[in-house]
Amino acid sequence: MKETIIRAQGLTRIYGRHRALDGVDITINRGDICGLIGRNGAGKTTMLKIFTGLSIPDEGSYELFGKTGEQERGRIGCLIDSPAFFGNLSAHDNLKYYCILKGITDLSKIDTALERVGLTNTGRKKYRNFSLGMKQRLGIALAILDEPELLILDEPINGLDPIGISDMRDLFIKLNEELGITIVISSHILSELYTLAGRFVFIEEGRILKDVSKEELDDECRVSINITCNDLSRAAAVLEEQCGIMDYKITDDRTIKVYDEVNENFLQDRLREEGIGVMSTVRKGISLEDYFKMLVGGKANG
Amino acid sequence: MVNILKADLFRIGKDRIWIIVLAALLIVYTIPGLYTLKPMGGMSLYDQGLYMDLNEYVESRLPDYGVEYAYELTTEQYREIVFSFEGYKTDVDIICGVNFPLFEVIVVLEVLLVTRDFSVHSIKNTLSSPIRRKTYYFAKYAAIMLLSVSIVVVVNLMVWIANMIINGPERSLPFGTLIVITLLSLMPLTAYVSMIHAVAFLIRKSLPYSLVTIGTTLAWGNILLNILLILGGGSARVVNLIAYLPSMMYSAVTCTHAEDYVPYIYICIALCVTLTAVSLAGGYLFFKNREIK
Repeated sequence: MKETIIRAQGLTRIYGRHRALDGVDITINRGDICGLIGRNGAGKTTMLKIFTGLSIPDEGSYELFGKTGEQERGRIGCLIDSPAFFGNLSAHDNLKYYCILKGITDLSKIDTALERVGLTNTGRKKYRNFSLGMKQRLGIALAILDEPELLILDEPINGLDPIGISDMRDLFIKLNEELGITIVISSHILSELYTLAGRFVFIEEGRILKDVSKEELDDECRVSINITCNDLSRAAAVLEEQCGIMDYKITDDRTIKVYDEVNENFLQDRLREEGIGVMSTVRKGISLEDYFKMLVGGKANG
Repeated sequence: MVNILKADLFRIGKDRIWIIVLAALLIVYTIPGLYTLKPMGGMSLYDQGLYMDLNEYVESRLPDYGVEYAYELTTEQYREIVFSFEGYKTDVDIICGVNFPLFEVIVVLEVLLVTRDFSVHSIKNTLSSPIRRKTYYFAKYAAIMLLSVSIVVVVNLMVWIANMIINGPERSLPFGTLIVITLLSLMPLTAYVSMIHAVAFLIRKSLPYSLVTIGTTLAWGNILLNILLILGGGSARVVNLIAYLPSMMYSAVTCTHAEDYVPYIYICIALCVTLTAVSLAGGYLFFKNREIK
């Protein structure tokens, strides 16, 4: 059984009359990459702020690594909201400041972190002259500086270009797979979150609407390859015998839906090789975005 | 706590502009301060308080120089008169007078170490690492106290040495007295730092914080002080407590052994201790559960 890294019960945070978090229960296990999905003001950042000690809950409690209090917070690396550093310092000096602050004596960790986020060539360039993407990368570098056990990232890919997004995705996956770092990440870029996370928590108006694994989500969204062909019985036989596909459904007299994760072109080639006339192969299913809209009722973004 | 101090010193060390500003302020408070003393022919803001009967003495000596008003004296004649005043030391006026305006420099330190952290939101990084809020609050306080005490000690020493060179040893305080005055002036300094530290955690943004603290300090000197004096009906107790700053009382006691001031010093110390305790506790309680943006 996996170790529980975060366990929260009835977390509530109230600002004036607004309940930013309303009795949230959540559990994050070691090794998870958990994606938080919600609109602006849904309560994602508030929840992450509570876990990182930047906000105090009005009600409810939470445990980090099985303990209450602040003593385990040193095992967390985080990037909350936008990155914040001293404008007159370089990337290296900014990280050195936090090394001194955290009592990290091995300063080679600075270069390792900068290398991981692709900021090795910034030299003496001051933080105030960084582009938005560079600032974001430095924020991530600080979060991973001390190789934390838990990484909390609030919209970490905001401001990054497509290559930067891809780099960061690879980095997060690498940190998770190679170093076993548990990651809690929120993002508005749902497609990106889908490729990264193994678990999804949908938040709306301070409450968790749904907490599903990727498998469960796929099942609910039921992504399928819809094959239209002229001989369904032979096509089914080919799918089973030659492609090893068992999860499929014949929906009408010309269409067969394949739910297994398989390459469309591969299927098409196999069927044609057996002389089956394939009219079309279309990947269908509800997207994460549509699923999210469906969950929150498609209200306008706040 | 030590790590925060070391990190702050590292950061300040990288902030050359502020180091230049602080160094310039320290120089302004010492050598030019000495040259603007009245006996040097200047119009000093500082030489007041300790030698309250100096003006009367100068007035009494005017007939010796055949003039009716003090402004008719030449600089040399003025110096001759005040230097003939028994036990007149030129450095003590600067030392006791400079402390209050010097406190404004401490606002700069508070901006550098605390409000800037809030302004650029870098406090998020600090508090989300294993730094507890209590540690953060009191480590910053310790850092500012350390730097403030260093500044006061350096300024007092610089004034003492500069005065020794310019006006000679006979116009300088004995070194032991300088130490006693410096140590005693740390009491109001601690109260002041505690207050502005608490205010920094209330206001949190550099610009409004600077405006409020420097503005209040200036207003205290120019407006509030007079209002309090009027409200106090000009009673000796109010005048002694408010108009003459604690450091001047300390100077008066240590230099002239004026026992009249001793009870007021006790009241000053009690006030300083109360202010320190209330400010530190209030500031921390406010910060303890505050949301960090």
